Amino acid sequence: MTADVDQLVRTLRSRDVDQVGELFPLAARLTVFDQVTRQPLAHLPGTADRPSNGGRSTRRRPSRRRPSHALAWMIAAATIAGITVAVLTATRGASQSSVAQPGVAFHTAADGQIIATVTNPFAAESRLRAAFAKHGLKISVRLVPVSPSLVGTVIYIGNDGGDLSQIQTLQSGRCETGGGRCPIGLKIPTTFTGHGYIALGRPAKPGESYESQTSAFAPGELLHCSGLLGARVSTALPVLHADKLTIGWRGAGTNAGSASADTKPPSSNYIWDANMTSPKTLLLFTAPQPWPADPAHGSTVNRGC
Amino acid sequence: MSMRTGAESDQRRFERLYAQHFDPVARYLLARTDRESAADALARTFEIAWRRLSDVPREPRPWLLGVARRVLAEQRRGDGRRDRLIERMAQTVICAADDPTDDVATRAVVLAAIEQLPVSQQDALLLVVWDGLTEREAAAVLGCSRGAVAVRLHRARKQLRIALASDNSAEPGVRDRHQPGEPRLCPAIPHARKETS
Repeated sequence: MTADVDQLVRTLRSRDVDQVGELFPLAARLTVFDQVTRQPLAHLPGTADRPSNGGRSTRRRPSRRRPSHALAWMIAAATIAGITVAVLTATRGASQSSVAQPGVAFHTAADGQIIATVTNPFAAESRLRAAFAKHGLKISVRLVPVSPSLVGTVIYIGNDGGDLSQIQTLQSGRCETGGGRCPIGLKIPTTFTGHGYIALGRPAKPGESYESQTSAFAPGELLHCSGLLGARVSTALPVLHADKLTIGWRGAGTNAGSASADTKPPSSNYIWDANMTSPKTLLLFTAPQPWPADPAHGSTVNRGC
Repeated sequence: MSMRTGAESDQRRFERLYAQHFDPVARYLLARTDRESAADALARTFEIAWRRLSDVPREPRPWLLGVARRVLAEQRRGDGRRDRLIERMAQTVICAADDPTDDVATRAVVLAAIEQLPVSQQDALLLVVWDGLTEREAAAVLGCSRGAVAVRLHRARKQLRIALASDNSAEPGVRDRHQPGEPRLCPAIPHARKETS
């Protein structure tokens, strides 16, 4: 009878509990981890930190930049970004089995090829390389700091005199990278004998610049759904300054990597795009003309807003 | 109680804690509150775990769930919504209505009975049944003795059995929570934010 009652109670549990991987995708987990661990380790007496004290706690008002808010935002943004099932599945596996895992999950596809997905971007590069080596693959792994929506994705593949042309990246999801989809893993023929290296996105450490980033307005990025795309500079600046961002300027249509930084444009200029070049540095692309509201660009970066 | 070892860095230890226990804590929270609040509480829980890493015991799960429970309690006091758990369960009753294998009426009775239980009994019951904790672990979460949890469990189950035995038909209470024409807030993946806004 107890079992019957328990079974009925069990059916009242929200089905969201079965969707943890989808609701908290890899990018969101890593971003929160990064934000949490940036805080100093310190005992703060009198907060709600101690469990089980009968509910007697000192409540703290959350600060504006608390990770909890960032996570709430990331859930929606990164979920909409659609980090793929492959990564999600791998992430779930990783979280079940701890970061002591090698960091790369290997599966065999129906056609016999090897599917490699990164389960733990926290893993040391040497450990990732060892994981590939264990499967007979001479592939070095480099972890590079990237903007939030690119964490856990394959940033580039290179070769050290070998031939990596046989290796395909697995494209999935709806990231706003060049191809519009996220490279989330590798498909490697079993006959592959070459050697080379891949770069995987990881969260940036304080002070680091991103080696790869996408539009700051894209899903999963800082300004997604901010409403600042197409806004005047005068409207955007107070918001951006409140976030303590260092701002650089470019004319719309210029290259983000151009050597010479432009001066601050007139406040009446319109924002056409933006790139985060580090967690605290924003590059704004502006023009005197209103943002043309390009349907293709707008519909992708504003997805879910 | 610290599980600190000399050679292991705090960062490393927290990585393992985070990777191993993120999902159980997330499930605990998602079972009890809406997605956005769960996300807030989840981050806050691990923020506390990071700051108090030296206090995290060797078996961290009950400790983490205890923190999560208190964070949720703070949230509820903050927004004045004390019945989120019942709302959450009621939503599940409704949303499962399309599933012919589910006995909606029976679950509605169980829900009504749970709603009548003291919070201490609700907590003990759900930690054991939903989260799979042992009585000892549940006691660690709740800050009471194992015996107290056992008593609460016994009383809770007894009340549910009585409710089931005395009611052969579905009470309308659960459905009455939704006004005619009001959309049912059955969660959908992945557009959580849009669906619930």
